[in-house]
Amino acid sequence: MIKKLLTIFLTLGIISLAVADPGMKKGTPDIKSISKLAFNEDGILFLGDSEGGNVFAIDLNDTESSDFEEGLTVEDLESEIAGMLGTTAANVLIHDMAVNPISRNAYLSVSRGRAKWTSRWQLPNELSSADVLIKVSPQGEFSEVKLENVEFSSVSLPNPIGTDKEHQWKKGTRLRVDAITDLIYSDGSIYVAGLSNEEFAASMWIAPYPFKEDVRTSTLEIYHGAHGEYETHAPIRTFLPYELNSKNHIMAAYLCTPLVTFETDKLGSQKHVKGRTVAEFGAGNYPLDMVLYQNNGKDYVLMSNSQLPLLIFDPADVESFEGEITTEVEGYIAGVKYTPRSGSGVQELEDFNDKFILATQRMPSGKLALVSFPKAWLRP
Amino acid sequence: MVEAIGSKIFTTSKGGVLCLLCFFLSTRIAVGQTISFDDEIDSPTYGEIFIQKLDSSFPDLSMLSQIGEKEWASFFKVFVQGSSRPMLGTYSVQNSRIRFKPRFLPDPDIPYVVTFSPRMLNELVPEFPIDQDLVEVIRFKKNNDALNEVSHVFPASDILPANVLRFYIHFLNPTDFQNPFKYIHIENENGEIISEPFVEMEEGLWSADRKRLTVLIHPGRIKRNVGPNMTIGEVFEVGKSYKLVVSQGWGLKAKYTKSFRIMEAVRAKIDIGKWRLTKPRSGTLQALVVETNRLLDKALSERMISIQDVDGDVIDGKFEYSSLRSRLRFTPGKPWKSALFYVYVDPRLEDVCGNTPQSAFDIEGEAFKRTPEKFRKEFKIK
Repeated sequence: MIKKLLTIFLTLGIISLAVADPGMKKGTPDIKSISKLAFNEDGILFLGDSEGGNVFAIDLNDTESSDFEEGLTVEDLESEIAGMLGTTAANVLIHDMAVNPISRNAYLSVSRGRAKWTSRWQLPNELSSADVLIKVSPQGEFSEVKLENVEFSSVSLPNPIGTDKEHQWKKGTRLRVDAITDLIYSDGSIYVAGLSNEEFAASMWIAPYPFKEDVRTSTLEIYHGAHGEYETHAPIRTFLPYELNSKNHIMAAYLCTPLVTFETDKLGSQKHVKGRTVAEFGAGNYPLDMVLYQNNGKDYVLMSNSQLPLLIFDPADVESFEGEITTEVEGYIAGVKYTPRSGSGVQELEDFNDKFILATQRMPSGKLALVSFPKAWLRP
Repeated sequence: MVEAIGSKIFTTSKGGVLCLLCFFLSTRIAVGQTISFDDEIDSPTYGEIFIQKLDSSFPDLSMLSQIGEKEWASFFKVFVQGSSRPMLGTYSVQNSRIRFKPRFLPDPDIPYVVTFSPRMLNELVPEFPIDQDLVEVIRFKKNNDALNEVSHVFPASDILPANVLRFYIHFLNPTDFQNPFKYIHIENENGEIISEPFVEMEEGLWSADRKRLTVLIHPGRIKRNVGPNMTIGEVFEVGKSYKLVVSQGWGLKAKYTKSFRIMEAVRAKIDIGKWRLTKPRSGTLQALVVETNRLLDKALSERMISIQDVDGDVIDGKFEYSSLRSRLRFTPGKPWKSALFYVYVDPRLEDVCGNTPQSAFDIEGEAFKRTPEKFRKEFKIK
């Protein structure tokens, strides 16, 4: 996922000390699916493997600092990658993107699965397991990153959702692909959102890094105003750590786009945690990604969506929102307001450098482009 | 440079490519190195591409085991035609051949461009003779055994009512994920393609195993006096012949054609009173045969009809509907007893025109009424 942390550290003036991982050993990690990606501030790649039920920390030795402050554009990302995979753009599926905050290299998890797409409700990990990691340098050079003979450590998620469970309304989709829906490194721990085998499947695991076998799990419950129900079975789709009213929080978005906050202290220390729903951004939509950025010295969150526009919301509005949404909302929209921004078809979002956010965007031509949004332009 | 030659090929017309290839083929033989590839599906090295010398082996290339992928790709590259990024894969020297194993199996529908530069290899292995660069466009052959085929289409009858609502297209193997309507059409006696006959859903109405596709004729063209019916008209004309064609372009072994002639539309509800039964004898496993007097929907007729005894218990057995003969056969799991039985019909049963026992699909001026009526036909086994 996204390199939100560095920005947060900078914003809050917290200095994080690099921690060497004594558990790392050289070898070939047994990765079943490159489902989700995230970096920490030391350039360690965290790879969430839904099929395997593991999180890997991989030292890619990609620590050469970059002072690249321009934007990066690749007009036809899928075609570029297709050539490398021996196929055409229509077969290339991009599952996730993460930018190494030190080198500014973008990493894309990729498979040859897009031709399997049959419905707008399918997400990349439901179509196939990503099995290729592609690196794109800030200058637009492409290369494959082989995950063989690398320094790595790993941790198993306790009790991820079973491999045999089927999605309620998406025929033929195994829920296991949502064992890990997003992961983020924050303040010495990896936060992993997804589905567990617990009675209330929506869960968050917290694994202190360097890994030991002390992963904590909380099942999650939210009120979803668009459905008028308390929900425990749908996983978080994308989340960000953020300090609200002097307390660490997780801001999380779900299918049909409720925005919910969780107190970080409760996560991992309580078995079942209830979130506070602060917004309903609109139904019939998967929130795809969130990134924190600064405009005019102030924090904002940019959110990409499967069906809604690219949108901006102000975390100060989340902070000042009183109470919570606990009754069915009319018209699908309620609570904290958002500002729509031009940029339909935007999917992955990453903090690229001080001036730009890197994104993948399905263009009107049908091509998937790698684009850079200037933070100065993302004024709400 | 290899890249320059490569880009020239990408932009040249088909004839140009051939001429250029002829040039390289001729020079290739003169220098003795050759590009080859394995496209035998069952071979363990299927998809691999080789550089080899025709007469004698290469100079010692053992030092190549030390080099990285970038150096390999400096003299030996494979591209998807039109792409400027070399394909991922692994290189090695094996049996006096330089070998490229692509990361993924090749696609027979895609031309690949192989480039080999002896001059660039010479920079790494000075004994390697400097010759002309090789560039070749290769295609892997299709595995015909792996191609899918249409096994049958229901209704099987070659005479169909003008208001026929659906066809079932059965495939031998699960199909791939493409818009089926790119490959299915209906044509008239003159071979003209009928415009917009179907309800086109890109994702298709597939059975869970993706072996049966349900194709709906547009109901708005069947129902009289509604929009499409009044503007475009009905799909079929009585007395005319048509063909339902599934084209080979779908990746099928062969094109599939179902020919049929159109009779008068059937616009009345299913009347089970008109069904004729041929009864088996007690103590036998003979089939009960029901002549349904009109074509029923095959899938529904095998699911929506049951045989029950007077206590309402369902008799175990197997249904098979012949949409060629409008005939339903029920073969019991156990021998028949001498008793009274019912052919029990679920009101959701439909004929090929969408008429049910409760209501016709299209009746002028009559609103649909769901009645609690039971649809059953009594028979006695002696």
